[in-house]
Amino acid sequence: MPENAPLLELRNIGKRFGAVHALRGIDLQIISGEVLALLGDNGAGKSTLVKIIAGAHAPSSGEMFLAGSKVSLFDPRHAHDLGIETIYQDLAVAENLDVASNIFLGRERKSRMLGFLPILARREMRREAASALEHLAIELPLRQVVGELSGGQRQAVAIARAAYWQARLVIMDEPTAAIGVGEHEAILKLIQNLARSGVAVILVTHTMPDVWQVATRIVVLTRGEKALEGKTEELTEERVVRAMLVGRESDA
Amino acid sequence: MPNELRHHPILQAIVDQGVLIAFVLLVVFLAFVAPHFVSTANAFSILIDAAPLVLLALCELVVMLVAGIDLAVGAIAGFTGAIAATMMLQGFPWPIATLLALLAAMLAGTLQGVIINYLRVTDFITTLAGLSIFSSLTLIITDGEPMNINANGFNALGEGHLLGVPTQIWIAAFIVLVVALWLGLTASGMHLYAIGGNRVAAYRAGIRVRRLRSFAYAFSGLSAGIAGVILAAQLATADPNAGRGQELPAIAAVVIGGVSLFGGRGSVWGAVLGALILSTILDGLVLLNISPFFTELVEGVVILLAVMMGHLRKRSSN
Repeated sequence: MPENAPLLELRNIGKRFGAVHALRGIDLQIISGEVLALLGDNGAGKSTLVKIIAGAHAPSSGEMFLAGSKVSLFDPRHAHDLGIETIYQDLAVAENLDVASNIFLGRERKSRMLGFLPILARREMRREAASALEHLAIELPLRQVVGELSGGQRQAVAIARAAYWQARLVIMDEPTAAIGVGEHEAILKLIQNLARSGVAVILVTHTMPDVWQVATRIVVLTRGEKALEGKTEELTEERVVRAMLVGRESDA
Repeated sequence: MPNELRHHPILQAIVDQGVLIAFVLLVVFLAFVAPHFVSTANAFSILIDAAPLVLLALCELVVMLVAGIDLAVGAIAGFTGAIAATMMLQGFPWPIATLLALLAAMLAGTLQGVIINYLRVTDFITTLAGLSIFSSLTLIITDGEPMNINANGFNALGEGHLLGVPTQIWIAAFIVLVVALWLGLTASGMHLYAIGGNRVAAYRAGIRVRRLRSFAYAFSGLSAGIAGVILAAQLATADPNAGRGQELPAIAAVVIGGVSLFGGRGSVWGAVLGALILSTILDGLVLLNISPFFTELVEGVVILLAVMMGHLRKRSSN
């Protein structure tokens, strides 16, 4: 794969729900190590697009290429296998399990008891989880049940999980919406660390200051179409907000 | 309750180990007031009564971990005994008859699991229908009459002893051990907790939620079947009414043992302790010469107390 070739490329992606065109003609490229902010008003098609990339929806038209080869995703498990992780706004973690168990959930390490019975290798998982957290400079009590953690700590668990599993693309839906002011900066820092380690991040958010703080590129969706795309430093908040409200600049 | 008091370590320990403490207090109380309570014979008598109840409580534990419920466990127990008896009457050797009857029980549970998880009929309705259907099948198979079982090997499962301990206690203890290892040490055991804790998270983590939930019901059918075999063996009879109504004490046992009705919380230890508490109370009623008409009244009050205790526990942990 040549340098700077897109990790993920969408060509002419469309999605219809019955008579409703949720997405139309979306072309999008995302490159490893960048943070792409995906912006748009409610109902602009952000979450539909994210779900297509995450394998939760099938597109009605168009093609997707991951690292240059064509993919069709049928389910979230398949997306996982390809290195696409989604961190949803509702922070899907099992509140009754501890931090290490959540990081390994669904992909547990096992050892053999009596030579044949597959049992959980808890100590090994805890050790690996600790080093994954350390790598991202996250401090969390590994044995604590996730339900007892703060919103920011849960977010960190979800991010650590994605990072540990060597995600190539992490989609984050409103990562700072559910957490307190004190933890806001820590999460943004975590997103930057994640991108710096070579992961492509798609950041779906409504919080404009976050975008200018961490995103390298911005894509604006309006009424299911791409209204604006550009590097963060070349765009102003005013242009972005106008695109979110009225759509493509040539249309206005 | 003020916060600092609520988090006091001693109070916390009482709340956490409430079930065990309740059991100890119950035993001490009965030791003082009930004649002949403290004796090996009575201890075995309690454990013999508890053996099928423990197995039915394990059914409820496993399905409740995945936020389900199984109202058909008593009916499946009776159904299993009837099938085993019929096959032995047809001349099948007892081990084969027993295995096939247990297979039928597991199939019954699997069927319920598939209907709940793939056809999306609610667990309550599905297993309520299962309760009717399997009770009725038992009556049809037995023609409403108790069926004698003459196979000594089979009857030994409910009448025999091993190292001086009644067989059914060994059987229940073995299944308890297997389930404890399953839930505590294996990935699928942890996934049951994950599904009950957050089904969406479990699905997104790649856990095959519907398959594992169906398997929980299959296990429930099997464990209910083993209970049914014990019930039939200890009377050397497949009674058309065996297991009838036993779903309520089973649910009561796990609720007493701190298993959450909403999924994701509960332990084998709790379920076993809950079943022991219930069996001990019922034993105490007999020793105290209290009319059996009070049995269900006491069960009802104990369930309510257990649920209220559970609320207290939850509040103190939040």
